[in-house]
Amino acid sequence: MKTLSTVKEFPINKNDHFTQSLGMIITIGSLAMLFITLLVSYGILRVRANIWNSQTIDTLPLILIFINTGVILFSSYTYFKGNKSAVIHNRLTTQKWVNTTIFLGFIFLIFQIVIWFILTSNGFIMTSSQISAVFYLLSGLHGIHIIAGLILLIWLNIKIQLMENNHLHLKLVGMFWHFLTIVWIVIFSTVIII
Amino acid sequence: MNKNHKSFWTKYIFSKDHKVIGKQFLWLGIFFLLFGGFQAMLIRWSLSNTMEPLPWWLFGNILYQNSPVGAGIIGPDAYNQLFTMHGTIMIFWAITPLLIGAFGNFCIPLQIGAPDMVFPKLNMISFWVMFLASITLLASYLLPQGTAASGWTSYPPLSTPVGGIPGQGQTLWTLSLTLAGISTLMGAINYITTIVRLRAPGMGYFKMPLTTWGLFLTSILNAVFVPIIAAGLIILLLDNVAGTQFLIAGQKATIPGGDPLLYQHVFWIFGHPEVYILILPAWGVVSDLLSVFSRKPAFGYKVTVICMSTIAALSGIVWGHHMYTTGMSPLLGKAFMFLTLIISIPSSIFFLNWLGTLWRGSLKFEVPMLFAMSVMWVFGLGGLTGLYNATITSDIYLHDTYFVVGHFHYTMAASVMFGAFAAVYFWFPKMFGRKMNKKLGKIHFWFSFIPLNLVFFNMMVMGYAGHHRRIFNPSEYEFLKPVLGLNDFMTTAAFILGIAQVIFVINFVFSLFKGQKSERNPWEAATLEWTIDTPIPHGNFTEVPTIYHGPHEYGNPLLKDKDWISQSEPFPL
Repeated sequence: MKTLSTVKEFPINKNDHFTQSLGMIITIGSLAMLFITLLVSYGILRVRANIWNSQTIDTLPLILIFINTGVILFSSYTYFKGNKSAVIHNRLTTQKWVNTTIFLGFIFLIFQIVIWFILTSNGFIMTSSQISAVFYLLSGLHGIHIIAGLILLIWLNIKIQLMENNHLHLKLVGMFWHFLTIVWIVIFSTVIII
Repeated sequence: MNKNHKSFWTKYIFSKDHKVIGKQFLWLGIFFLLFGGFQAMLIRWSLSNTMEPLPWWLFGNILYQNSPVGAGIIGPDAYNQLFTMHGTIMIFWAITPLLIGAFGNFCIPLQIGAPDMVFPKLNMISFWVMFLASITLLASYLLPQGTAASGWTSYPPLSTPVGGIPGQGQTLWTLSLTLAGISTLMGAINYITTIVRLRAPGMGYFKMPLTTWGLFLTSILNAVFVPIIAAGLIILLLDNVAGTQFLIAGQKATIPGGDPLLYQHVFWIFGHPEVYILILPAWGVVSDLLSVFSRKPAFGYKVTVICMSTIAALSGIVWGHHMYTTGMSPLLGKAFMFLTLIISIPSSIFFLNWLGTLWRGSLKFEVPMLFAMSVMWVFGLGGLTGLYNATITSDIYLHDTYFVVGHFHYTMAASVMFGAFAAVYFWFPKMFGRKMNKKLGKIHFWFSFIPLNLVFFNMMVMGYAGHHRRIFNPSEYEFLKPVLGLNDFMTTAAFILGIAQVIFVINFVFSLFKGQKSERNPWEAATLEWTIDTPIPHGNFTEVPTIYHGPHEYGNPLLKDKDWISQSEPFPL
């Protein structure tokens, strides 16, 4: 009964990397559950449907979607570069790469909107078929999260200007941004390619 | 700048202090508890006095004045709206804020020895998102066609514009529920991170109070399963506002390929864990309280924790038992039945642990203890009747009858509500520095416990007689004629139950201002929150506590002058 536990270090700094990352991991895990549920629902609808014509997207928007996938992949790469230069304490280079990521993020968002406009003007609207509904649902929801990601990136940019050490902020925003890239790759390969 | 200097707004309204946020959730929860409870009274009135004007004591001269069937009369449409909103409000706006919002916020940092939540700002946003959700929900009462009316489950096509119930109530319902989900999710992120990272030195996982354990498991379930219902709600929202037809099939569908069963699956993948999301904190509270008032360590503490974790894990894979009558394959049905029945093993084990805690303890029948013990009764009965719903053969007969209604009111409403009442009576002295009146508390208890059993047990009897859960006028059916007397009896009991809650409110408000001043540790409890003076200062602990032993050190023979020892106090050598 008289056990005296080994006393560990306390108080834990609330801003330590593990604590903050854990919060971000849970957030991302929850968001992943959201997208997984929608993707599985899409899979079920598709498997159970009699006809599923996924070739209804025209060539021009299709090319744009392919380019856009490249854009978001490249934005993850630039972010990765920014993170790397932060490790060697090169603040200016970090900022340059983060700014590139913000730029690419905006390009992605604008391209998505352009794609939506082209598709809707070609008669591919939300109510025209299940495939269009699925496409708009998933890309729209992803787009909302991209906007959130961009807000985080701009916040990060301000932080980098104000503070010397930004490893934690870079790590957290990076987790979110890379997650959005992965989600888009999954959406792209399941809804557009297959 | 002095960080402790705060204006009224930052101290009470936009506070980042977990204790204040906990109290805010408490007000919200109690408000909606009364609101949803009043709706239950209206439902009962309508069931035994169908199409008769409401009496003055149910505000008959104010409510339903523009009813199409006559002033002050609840028509069939209004009745549908009533039970829909009663279910929704009680589950998502009363129980969730009370147990998870209020006591989660209040207890977790105090019980693990943390100064506050890890993300105080997120915590504040969580409450205000919930507030926004409440306003969205209440706004649906102002719509010309009224609120959502397709049941708290909102199955399509009833909940969609295609062949569903007219009006925008469903849209607002979906929106408000999505917002409430976001709020819950923020809370879950906070709770999990706080428990994992901010435990005081020496506070191992197996030294945490069971309340914290329950809330911890609840938060994990929330983080995993709330996004799933969010996905379902997004689809439902699009079907309602954007004209998509994800959930529509059959002749009325203009877009082929939709599937209403999809929503049912998504809903119940979340919906079944939701039952445990609600009840796990109550189980935790009850396990702790039984130990405090038996003056004995909780029997089989680790086993209880493991059982609760097992149930939490199992809860994610049993959702099919809500859908036996949807024409699922018999093999799948049997699998779900098997998995569901497995849950009874860990449940019985920790039920036995509760009995073990009580066994040969020196019981003190304080009001929280009465409520905690009543949870054992109502949950035991609810759990046992669950077996008939889990078994396919009996469920096909009992499905969608009042048997199911009685069952889930026993498990979800009664157990969770009584757990919440136990928690309110127990932590009231720590929250507000005053004790609640014991005599009124006991009156509240007996006038809640007995009528509650009379209502919900007879619900099961009526369900067995074939009373469908959503019929408007029971007197219309030949086969229900023999149990109509029971129906009226239940209504009377329900009104007594409702009046008893007025006693609770009177006691609460009275004690808040005029209650007997409480000492630091009125219950002689051993957990950390009772080592602090009330009102608890900002930052909780003046010095970081060190934890020496588990949360239930009562009646230890090593102790000489008192029968309990706080977790942060080493044993006298």
